Amino acid sequence: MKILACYSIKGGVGKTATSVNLAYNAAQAGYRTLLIDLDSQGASSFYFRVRSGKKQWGKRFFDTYESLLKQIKASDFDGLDIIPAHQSFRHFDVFLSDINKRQRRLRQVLKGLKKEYDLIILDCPPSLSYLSEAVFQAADMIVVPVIPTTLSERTYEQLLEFFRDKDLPVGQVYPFFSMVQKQKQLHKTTIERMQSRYKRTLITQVPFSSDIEKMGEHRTPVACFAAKTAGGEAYLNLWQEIQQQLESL
Amino acid sequence: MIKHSRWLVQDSQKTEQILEKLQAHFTLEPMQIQQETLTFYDDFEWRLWKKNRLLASNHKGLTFFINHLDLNVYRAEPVPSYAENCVDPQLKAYVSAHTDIRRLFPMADMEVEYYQYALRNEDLKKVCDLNITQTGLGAMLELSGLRGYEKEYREALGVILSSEPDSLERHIFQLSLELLAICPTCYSRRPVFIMGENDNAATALTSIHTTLWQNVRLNETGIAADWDKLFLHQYRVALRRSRALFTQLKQVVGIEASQYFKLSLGDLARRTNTLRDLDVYLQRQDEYKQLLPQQFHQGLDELFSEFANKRKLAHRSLARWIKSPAYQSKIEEIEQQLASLDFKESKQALQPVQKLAAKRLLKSYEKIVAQAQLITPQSVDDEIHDIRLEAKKLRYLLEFFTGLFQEKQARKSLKTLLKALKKLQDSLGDFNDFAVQREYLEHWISSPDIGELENHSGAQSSDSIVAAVHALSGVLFVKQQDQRLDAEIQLKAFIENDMSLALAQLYLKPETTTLPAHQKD
Repeated sequence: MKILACYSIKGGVGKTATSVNLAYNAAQAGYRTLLIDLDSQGASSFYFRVRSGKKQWGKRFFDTYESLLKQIKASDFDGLDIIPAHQSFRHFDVFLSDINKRQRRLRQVLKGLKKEYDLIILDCPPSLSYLSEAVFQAADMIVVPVIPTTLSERTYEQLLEFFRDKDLPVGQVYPFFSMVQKQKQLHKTTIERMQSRYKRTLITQVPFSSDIEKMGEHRTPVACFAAKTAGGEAYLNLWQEIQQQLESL
Repeated sequence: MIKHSRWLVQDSQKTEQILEKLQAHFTLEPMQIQQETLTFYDDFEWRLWKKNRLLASNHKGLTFFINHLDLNVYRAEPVPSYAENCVDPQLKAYVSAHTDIRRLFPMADMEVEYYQYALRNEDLKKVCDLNITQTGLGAMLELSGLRGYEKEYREALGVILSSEPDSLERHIFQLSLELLAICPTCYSRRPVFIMGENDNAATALTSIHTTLWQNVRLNETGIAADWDKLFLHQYRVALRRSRALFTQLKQVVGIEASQYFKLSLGDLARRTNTLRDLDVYLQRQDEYKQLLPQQFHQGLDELFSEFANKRKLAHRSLARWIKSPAYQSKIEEIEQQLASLDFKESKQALQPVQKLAAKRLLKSYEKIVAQAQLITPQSVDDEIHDIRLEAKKLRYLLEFFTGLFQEKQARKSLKTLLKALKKLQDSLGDFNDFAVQREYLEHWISSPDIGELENHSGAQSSDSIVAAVHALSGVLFVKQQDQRLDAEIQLKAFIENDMSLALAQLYLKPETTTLPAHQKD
């Protein structure tokens, strides 16, 4: 079982769209996939029309994997299950602050799911926190959507700095360009600069696309209603590139 | 946990009512509606059907395997012909577990309609799947809940159950095929011989030979058409059993009749020897390759290519014989002899079969034990082969008459004997096989066949075959020696597991049981 995290310090860069579409493509490729929506806003859950129960169960998230099992819901697609977000996830940092060896706890809990799933995808909230540290320790690979702008580039640098400070495995971090508008000179130059600077930058670039925006309307992965569009194809390519990396780990 | 339930609804209006009721609770989205003709396949012995399995194809690449109530769908599959031709490894394993190398034949066609619905909640999230399979018999409703939606599943379940559908013990395809008056063959490679303990020997013998002869005849078409190799194998087995019956019970049918059947049935079997031998060798191709180093593989390939050519010729010749007037007339002659069996002359024919069977079983067992006791490491191979033949006779007797002994202790004894005998036969059989294989292969390279090959393919080709055969023969010789040691161990074990008293019990009343001859001092 591999754990893939989709993470960015910055919000609105396409983390959820990426998590949803990667999860869908992974399941279509035959991976028994579990998408965990760690962001209390619950956008991934919304896209899959999955709601969490009313119980405040976030406190038990890091107890044992059995607590997670009870929260798993099937998506409409074969091989893809979801743990939907819950409002109580807002307090993850509080819960984690009370736990010994909190950095390793998430990985420990997720390990219990290895018989059921080939791939776990973590859709993470945009913050640097105890939770994100636990995610970095748990993940085999961390994909970071970066809008090719100066601010996003700076945020990415901050992330790498955080990794170095905390002695986290920088080699597991893979940036890729999201919401790319090729006609913008700033995007072009940022892409060129970052590509030469960060060798692990994934080749696939996800364009800024109205089809991807329409996911909210359709409440389904882009491949289900616009597979042959630039957006649909980009997420398929991104998945295939990530799949290769995961297989080589 | 994913829940799954099935029901049978024979009234189409009721199905409509259920759908309407569900619509009051869920959004019912039709996902797929399909109509097609399915063809169901089975082997000559209907072994899938007999084990509650079904294999069907829609002739458009979809193959269905039904195991009791569970249905698996396989895509991009060819129309079923043999288990080994299935593409999906799981399907191949399922089909070959039941049909082995047998040819699969279409046995029935059925019109089927499928309706697949998604039951959605207020968010339009799918919470349950509802599949309806419609045949001439009615509709099979299958409701399955999605993980995490147990409450919604229970709600849908309640709606369906309120319409009181019938429960379903078997798959609707199986029930529908029964409705089509599907009539599986009563053919069985291991037939059960129907006889009562009070029947006399003549009646029992008639019952057995009638069944065995039917098996001989039923396999003829398959041999001529070369559908699969088991037609020939089972034809030969039936002939061998019949022959054993008439020779072992010669006192019942009379010496003359016994001799007639021994020769006639033997003649029929002999005609098939070449083809059967080649079938066996061709089947062992991979096994032989594993026994020899790479350098001999080319020679083996050439040898087997020759065997394959010879097999074609041998089959053509046998098929011609089976279709010939000479064969028909031989068959008619045997059938006339069977019909005119006269048991009046024989005293044994009128005695109770159970008594006769018990006597024969004990005698046969004692003969094996006596011969086995004489075996030492110095004994010649032929002595072991003789025991193998005796063991075979005992096995046939057990197959013929085990059903006669219904008393618990007797059944237990015979089961134990059968188990011990099987172990012994396996070991002796392997020992014999190695010897026969070596002899056949060595004989083949010294026969005119190899000269013929030299003329066609050149001396180099024949040289590599000769080298491969000599190498193989050497390996088989070593294996034969090892097997000889095993055979001696098995013979010792067979003697030690003394069954004579138990067999004597079958023959004698318990209170008058005396020790069999070889156990007296």
